[in-house]
Amino acid sequence: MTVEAASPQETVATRVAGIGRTLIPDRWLGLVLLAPSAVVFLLLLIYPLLYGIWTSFHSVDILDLASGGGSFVGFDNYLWLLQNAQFWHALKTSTLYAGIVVTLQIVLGTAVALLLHQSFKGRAFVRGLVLFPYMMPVVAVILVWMLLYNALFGAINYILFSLGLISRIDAIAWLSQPDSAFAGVVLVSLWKYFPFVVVIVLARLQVIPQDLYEAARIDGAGAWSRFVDITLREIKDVLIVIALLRTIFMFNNFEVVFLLTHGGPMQATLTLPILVYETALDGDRAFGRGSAIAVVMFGLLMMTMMVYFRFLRREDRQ
Amino acid sequence: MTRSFRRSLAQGRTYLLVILLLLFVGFPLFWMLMSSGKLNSDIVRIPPVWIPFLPTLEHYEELFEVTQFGRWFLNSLLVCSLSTISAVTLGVLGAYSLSRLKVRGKELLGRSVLLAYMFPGVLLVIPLVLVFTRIGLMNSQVGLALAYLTFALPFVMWVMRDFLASVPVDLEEAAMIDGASRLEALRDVVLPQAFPGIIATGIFAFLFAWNEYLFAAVLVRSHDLQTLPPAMANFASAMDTRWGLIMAASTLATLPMAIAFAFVQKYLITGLGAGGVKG
Repeated sequence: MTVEAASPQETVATRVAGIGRTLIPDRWLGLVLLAPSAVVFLLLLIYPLLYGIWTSFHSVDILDLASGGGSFVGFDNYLWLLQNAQFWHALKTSTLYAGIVVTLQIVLGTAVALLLHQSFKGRAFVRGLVLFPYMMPVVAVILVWMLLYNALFGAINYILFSLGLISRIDAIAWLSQPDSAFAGVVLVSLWKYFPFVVVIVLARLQVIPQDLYEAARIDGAGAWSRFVDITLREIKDVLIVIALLRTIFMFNNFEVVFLLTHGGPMQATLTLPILVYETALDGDRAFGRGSAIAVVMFGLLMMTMMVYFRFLRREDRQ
Repeated sequence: MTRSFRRSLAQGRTYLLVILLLLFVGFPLFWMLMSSGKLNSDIVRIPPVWIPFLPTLEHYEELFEVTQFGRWFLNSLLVCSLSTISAVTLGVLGAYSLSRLKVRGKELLGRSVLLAYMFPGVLLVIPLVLVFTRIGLMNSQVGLALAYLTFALPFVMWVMRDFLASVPVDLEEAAMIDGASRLEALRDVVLPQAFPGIIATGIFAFLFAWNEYLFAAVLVRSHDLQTLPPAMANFASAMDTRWGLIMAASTLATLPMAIAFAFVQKYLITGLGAGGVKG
């Protein structure tokens, strides 16, 4: 610590700070209060993370579980990965899934936020209800949508049939054909996670200064140009942040896809998280190979985070 | 066109869009609740029975008689409370340190907390299985609660850091000038001020744990110790024609969230926002 002339207040604070009788000066107290959390991070995040990287260079199977051992295999797991068509397929599926879902979420979320920013009767109720899917247990969400998707008596097919969009009521077995299963997974992910975008964008909309709009109106700007020049410009930064962070989140999302389709049918919804699960935690339990996939995913995540932190720095400078 | 006509046209359009939104968001919720109260023969009927004429409670009764739903519910309650209480206790102290005290490398630490909070469970699950197996925490509810700390603790720290920063420093300093130690000032001045925020943060941490599936499914395998999400997924795939039962379970599993919702609505933006990160 540098020696500085402390202000009188600081001197008082430092002198009296302490736990009971044992005086702990502030500069130690900061560390003492942080220590338990730091230990948890170290043991439950950093250590497992490093252990995962270690595992990715070893061949570890179910027999090694108790001993914690495994034989060193160098880059074998990564070579296996690069030559594995399933891996490339899953990488493509994950990217496509995350890209489509995030785009739809941002479009729908922003539109709904703009709508909920208007004044109308019952607005507080609607704002609350819109967040419901987001807070609901993912298993419950999946089970309800499986009932809705049912080919024989599902409500979705019935509604499409009543509207004349499909010819027979059992025309679409949503989750058992590759294309419709992918669409089905996208729709549920959209339904469950778009409220998050609504909350963030709505919060941002509420702090746009109203006089910007009045000045534009006096200048004769129409509704569309007010939207583009003021609203969109003001929320642009928030949208970029959401796009980056939601992409990370959807790319790594395991639960919705796994519970709805288990990666099928015919691998149409096989994403990287599901491949990790199938490789390491199900079937042949190849922990080393599974870890190699996870390490690659971690690399992609860090790259995206780097873009994010750079963006934050640029924003701070402005 | 007169101005008032144009305005009521815009109003009409707003209400139309709101109705479409309510249908999109609300219909699956409505369907879950209605199906849980329908006779099995009505669930598979075409055209659908939109609202059961005489709702039945038989699925709810059966849920507690045929399955171990009550047990799983209590298991969930136990695991989530354990992880939430630990996360809030440790997290609030850590967050206070980050927001008020001088610690070297504080900014880096704050950033690591964010990174930790972002960290997807699927990247942690393999090493956690390996480590937990070796030290005997597999198939243990304490182990699962510890695994939940990996997201609950960074979440609490991240949200509470901003929240504590918004509590005025003056009060604390006044107390310390009057002779209170810093920890006494924290206990008597800061915590009471921040109490509503702490409760809201705790409720969010609880709900995230309540809804989590992957760790729960992988780390706890035994039937008796399982929490709701994996147990529900298992019994739904074992009895996939018993939709009334499955919907009753889904409704009850959603209930704690619906109750908590009423309490935290005011804090939704701080809680969910958390820097706009994860969920």
